[in-house]
Formats: sequence, structure tokens, C-alpha cells
Amino acid sequence: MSKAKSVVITVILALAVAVAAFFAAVSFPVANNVKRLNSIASNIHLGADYSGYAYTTIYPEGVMTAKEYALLEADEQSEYAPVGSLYVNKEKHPDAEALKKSVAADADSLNKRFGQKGYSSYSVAVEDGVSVKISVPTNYTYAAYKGHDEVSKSGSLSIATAAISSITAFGDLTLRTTDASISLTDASGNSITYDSTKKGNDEWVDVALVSGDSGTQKTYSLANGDDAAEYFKSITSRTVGNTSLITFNFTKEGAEKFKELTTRAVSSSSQTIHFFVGDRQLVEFKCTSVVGDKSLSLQSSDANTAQNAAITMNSAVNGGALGENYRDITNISVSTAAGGELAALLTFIACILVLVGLIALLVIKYKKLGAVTSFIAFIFALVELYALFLLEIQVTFAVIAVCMVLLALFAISNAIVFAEVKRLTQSGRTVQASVKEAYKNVLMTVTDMHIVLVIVAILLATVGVGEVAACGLISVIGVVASYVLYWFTRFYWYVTSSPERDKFKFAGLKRVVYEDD
Amino acid sequence: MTKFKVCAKIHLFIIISSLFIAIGMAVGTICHFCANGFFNYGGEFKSYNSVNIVYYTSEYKDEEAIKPICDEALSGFNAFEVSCYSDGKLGGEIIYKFSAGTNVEKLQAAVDELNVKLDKNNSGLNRADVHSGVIKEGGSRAVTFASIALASAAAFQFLYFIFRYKLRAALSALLACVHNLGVFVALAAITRIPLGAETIAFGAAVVVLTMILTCVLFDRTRKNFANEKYQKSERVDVVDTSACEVRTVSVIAICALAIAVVVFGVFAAIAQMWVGALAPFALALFGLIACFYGAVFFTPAVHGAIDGLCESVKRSVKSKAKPAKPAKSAKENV
Repeated sequence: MSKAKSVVITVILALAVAVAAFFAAVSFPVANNVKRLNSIASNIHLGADYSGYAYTTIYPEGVMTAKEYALLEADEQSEYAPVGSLYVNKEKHPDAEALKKSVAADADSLNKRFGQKGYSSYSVAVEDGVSVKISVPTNYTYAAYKGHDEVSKSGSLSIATAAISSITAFGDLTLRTTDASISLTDASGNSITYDSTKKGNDEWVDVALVSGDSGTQKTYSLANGDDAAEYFKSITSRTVGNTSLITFNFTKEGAEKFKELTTRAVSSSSQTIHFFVGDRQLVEFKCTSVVGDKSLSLQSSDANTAQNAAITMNSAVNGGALGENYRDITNISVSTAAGGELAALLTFIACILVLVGLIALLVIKYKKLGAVTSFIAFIFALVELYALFLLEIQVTFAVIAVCMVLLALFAISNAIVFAEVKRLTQSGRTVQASVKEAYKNVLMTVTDMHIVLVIVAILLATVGVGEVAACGLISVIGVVASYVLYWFTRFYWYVTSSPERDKFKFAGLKRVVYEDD
Repeated sequence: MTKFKVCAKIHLFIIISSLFIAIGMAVGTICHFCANGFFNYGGEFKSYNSVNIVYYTSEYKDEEAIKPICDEALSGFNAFEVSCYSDGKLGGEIIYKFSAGTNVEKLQAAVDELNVKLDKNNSGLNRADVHSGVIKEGGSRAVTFASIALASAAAFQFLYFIFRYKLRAALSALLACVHNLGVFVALAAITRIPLGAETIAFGAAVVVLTMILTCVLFDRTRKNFANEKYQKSERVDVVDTSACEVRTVSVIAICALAIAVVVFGVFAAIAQMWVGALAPFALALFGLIACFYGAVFFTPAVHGAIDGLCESVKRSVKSKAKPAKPAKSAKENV
């Protein structure tokens, strides 16, 4: 390859990388400071260590905080008994120990529900025996955390809030309608109306279901809590592309019952069946055809809504319904980053330092060839950064540690081939011949390593949950990138070394001189 | 270092590893019954006593205005976590978490004093309360699925190595994964480092790094077995030579990763201004120590031993089979 070609390729590539690096790391204001273009790095979602938690405490009805208690009149205060730092209404909860047991059981159910969300970290704690505190990561980006991206901030917060609100729904799963033509009839032929004695249903008539005057609207029960548990085996969610589905898997009895219901619903005026957990409507089903299958899949607005609804309903039909009636959630607070206010920024600086360290090591050991490899290592780091952004992987310390292992994989792959080149040049071969032979010799080593790791990464990404799945996903990208860039290093070595006269010097190798006999 | 024959020390390494893992298991089991669990679970898994301080911006403009007062009042109780929450408008909340063993009466007395200081205008708006919390054990689902994923990964590696190398290499690789993970777990149990949610991912990283390093070792070994230069050498010596040849790569890679972990740890400690922030980084270093010991000493030694064992079995099978085929031997002699 001529020197001109080599220079042109190098300049084009360097420019492309410089542009990519600029947008990856630099944020700047645009449109006369009206808007701000945030860098790719600052648009990556962060774990709780770097962006904090969203938390709320839920109190059963009849339980209040010390602050609320202090605002009561003296005669009202006498109705309450202290439990830890909270106050319990003696009339509503005459047995405080029974309340504690019930709250502990609910906390277990909530723990299982939140466990299915795949958060990198979360916690469910019973506080003072009679309240439950729930913390989930805010999933902010750095720009959102620092207040440079209010849209993303409110989006992330509303996702966290929706999850907490939906998953903490208490009471049984019920199917309801306001349409008398869908309602079931009892033995005497009368429509079965809503059963207000069921737990979690006592505010049902106040829920705006179909129109604003729901308070006066008669509501009909299609399946109450006990029935629903018999009708559904499980309720799951899945998202493929932009389509999110909630799937109801029926028991044999449930399939028959649902066929009966949908037959009525199809010919009704509203055609609508509502799925409630306690007082919270989670799904609305517009029935246009009879459902006679063993399962029913309903499309949801987005993946989070589908997942939250499926987790809550599945828990309710499988013995995880919350037994207590809880007060409405009034406030969800957001904490500062658990790792400190500057944790994300300092971690980013640490990442750059590590990369600089690797570059220095490569340049010292392999001279100009080290510089070439450093350049490719920099591209590798950029690929990982863009992958974290595009795949919306939540960055935690474990994800960063895995990224470092992947960078090591790339470095090890190249170190193996460089060691082989060195060995071959010492046997008297030219650099070109050694490079060709070395890449051939180590082909299977490097390929084996990458094949094993890509399968392991796929397994971690598909089978693992939460942080492990995130590590698996970035590993898949990292291993593929490492293999592609390994070969790109070979190409770029050729591009940059072609115009060099002394290729031994270029690669930091010593020429072996044999004395003539 | 290069002349150190690891294969000859197989018994030593097995004793060291077994002893180490056994101590880890013993410490963990004893602590499981007598202390706070098999591992020392970190703040996110611990039961706690907490002091929740609610403030309003009408009297304290932000957390910086109120936090020093709270820090001073609660300084004697060694909070393991301090979180600041804010609604961004009306006020916020500061939560100090203390271990469950904290003297609640003393804590309550300190909080009562703090309440007097905070409520300087007698508004009753800013106040602190003591709470006790029991964290529900989370993460069991994540551990289960991660274990299934890692077991499947190890099984895949085993099958792939049978196909690409030999059964003996596959066995050695499987043992290396189990060993390194075992040492990592033992180190975590013995040192009582507080574990966080990232521990599972670190375990996965240990397995991944072990797989990378075993691939490098076995490929070199296979090449050397095929190399004419080593045809007359003992197989164990070839494994030793191969281990020496790849040792530099393994050591440099692990040391580079260790330096990276230290850099991250220092920055994290600066960010939190708290030495306790180093716990996850210490755990990552333990993972690297396990990988280092496994890659440099244990795996080559075990591979050499398994290879030697398989060869001797093969030879004895052959020697037993020889008398059954006298005609062939005779033909060969001719």
C-alpha cells in the first residue's frame, strides 16, 4: 500500500473516530443556549449508585406517622396507640401483632413482585412493623440527574412511580363491567352485582370506569377474587419490538367461563371487561370476538405498563394478593446518588484513566504498533459506550467491571498475536511473513475464546435477570466488537506499516542478525 | 518464575485450595448460625435502625443547611448509609441508617435533642423520628437465574472443549471454573466484606475471565503437544512449558484489571468520602486474586495431573489389550 493511501485511510478513520468521540463525551448548548445537546455518555441510564433511588412508604389504613399524629386533636389522639414511631388506630386494628404479621406477609409478596422487575437493586423493608418502605433505582441518565434533561428525568421518574403505584396494588384480582348485558346471572336470573364485602373493593363505586358519573353507575362482578384465582393459571408479559403483550393463561374452568363472558360481551353495547386488582384498574379489554382459547393476549401501551400489570395480576391469582388495605401513595421521594454526588463523573474519569493506562502500556511495549492498537482499543471503548446508550443498559459498577474485562479480552487477543509475531521474527522471518503466519497460528485460539464467551454472554443475557442480564447484554456486544476489531487491527497494522521502511522498528521488535559462516 | 514447575506441585495446590475453600465454608456456616449470615450482607440487605429527618425549605433552604446539624447530633452512632431525598420544592428528607444492634434508647435520646435544635421556630414542621426496618431478603431470584445461566455456560464450555480440545481439557476447564468461583466465595465469606447486589455479576465476571484464561492455556498446550520440538518430552513437562509461555499474558491481564479496580475504588472513595465505599472494589479484587491463583497455579497443575492420569489409563488399557492381538504385534515386528 502506498503512503498516500495509508495517509488517506488514516485521516478518514481518525476524523470519524474524533467526531464519534466528540459526540460521545461533549455536551454543549445549541440554539442560542435555549437547548442543550447532551453527550452520549451523559444520556446513558445509571444505576442507583450513580443516580439514586425513588422511594415511598406505604401505610395500612388506620396507621399514621408521628407528624400526622401531632396534628390531631387530643381526643382523636386517644384513639391511636404507638407502634415504633408510628400510630395505629385501636378501633381499626385492635390487635397490633396481627397487623404486624399481615404487613410482614404483604411485604414478602411485594418483595417477590419487585424481584420480577429485574431491577439492578431494589429493597422492600418493613418499618416499625406496620409500614412498608419500597426503594427502586430512578434509572436517570447523568444529564437527567444533573437537571440538564428534564424530559428524560420526568420520563424516568414516571416509570419508577408507575411501577411502585401499580405493583403495590392491594386486594384480589376482579373482573368487572358496568354493562348489564355482559353481567352474569344467578340461579334466579338476576345480574350478579359487585360484592362490596370483598377485601379491597370498598371504594369500587367511586372509581371512574366508563363515564364521569360512575358513582351512580351500577357495576357487575364477572369474577371476584376467589373465582379469578381459579380461572387463571398465570399472567405474563412479553415485549417484541414495539409490541407489548399481556398474556392470560386460563385453567380449564377459566377458559369455559371466559368463553361464556366474551360471548355475552361481543353482543353487548360496551363490549368492555375491566381487570382490577383491588381498586386499581390494570387492564381494559374490548371484546370484539369470542375467546375460546386456553390463553388470551392483550396489547399494552408499553413494556413497563404490561410488565407491571402482569406481575401484579399474576401475584394476585397465585396467592400473593396483599391482605391489608393501604392508604394512597401521596409522595414518592428521590434520593441523591447512593455512591455520592460526584460518583458518576468520577467513574467516567476513572474509565478514561484506565483507557489512558492501557494506551500507555501498549505504546511502551509495542511502540508504533502499540499506538495503532491503542487507537483500535479507543474505538472498542467507543463501541461499548454507544452500545450502552443504544441498548439502554443501566450502568452499575458491575457493568463497568464487565466492560473492563471485555477490554482485557481485546487486549489479550492482540497480545497473543503480538507475542507470536515476536517469536516468529526471532526465528529469522521478516515482519510481514511473521504477521501473516502469526495470525494464522493463533486464529483458532482467538476464535475459540470468542465463541465460548459469546455463548456465555448470550446465556447470561437471556437467562439472567437484572444486573446479570445487563452484564450479559453488554458482553455480547463487547465480544463481537472485540473479534471484529481484532481483525481490524490486523488490517490497520497493514495500512499503517506499509509505508514504513523499518517494520521491525515500527512493531518494537529486534531484528535477528545471523552471522555468516 | 519461568522455571517453576507447577505440575509437580499439584498436591500442594490441591491442599491449599481445599483448605482455603473449607475454611471459607466453615467460617460462612458458623456465621450463618452465630452471626449475620453465611456472608456479611451489605446495607442493602441488612435490617437497620434509621433516623428519618423531614425538613421544609421554609426554614432550611436545602439539605446543606440542615445536614451539618444532623451529622453532629448523630455522629456517635456510625451510620452505614446516609441518603438525601428531596421533592425539589417544599423540602426533603434525610435518612441515616444504623446497624440493627444500635442502642435504640440512646439513639432516641439523641433524636429528641436533635428535634429541639431543628424545631427552632416551634413550627413542628422539621422533625426527626427513629424507625426500625427489616429488609426483606431480595435477590434470590437473581441468584437462582444467574446460577442457572452460569451452570449452563460452564456446561457449554465443557462440551465445546470436548469438541475442540479433549475430554481432559474440558474437565480441567470445568474444575478451573468451579475452583475459582469457590475461592472467590471463600474469600468473601472469610473476610466478611459487606456484599451488595453487584456480587452476582462479579461471580459471573470471575467465570468469564477464567474461561478466557483457560482458552489461552489449553490452546497453547495443544499447539505444543503437536510441536515436533516437544515430541520426546514428557506430557507434564509440555503442560508446564505451556503454562510458562502464557503466564506473562495472564499476569499482565489480571494485574492491569487489578490496577483498573484500584483506580475505580480510589475515585469511589473520594466520591463518597467514606472508606466503606471500597467494599465492592475489594470484592472485585478478590475475584481477580481467585482468577490469578487459578490461572497461574491451579489450572495448569490440575490439567497436567488429569492429562497424566488419562495417559496412564490409556497406556494400561493398551498394554492389557496387547496380548489379545498377538497376530498384529507380530506383523508389526516383521
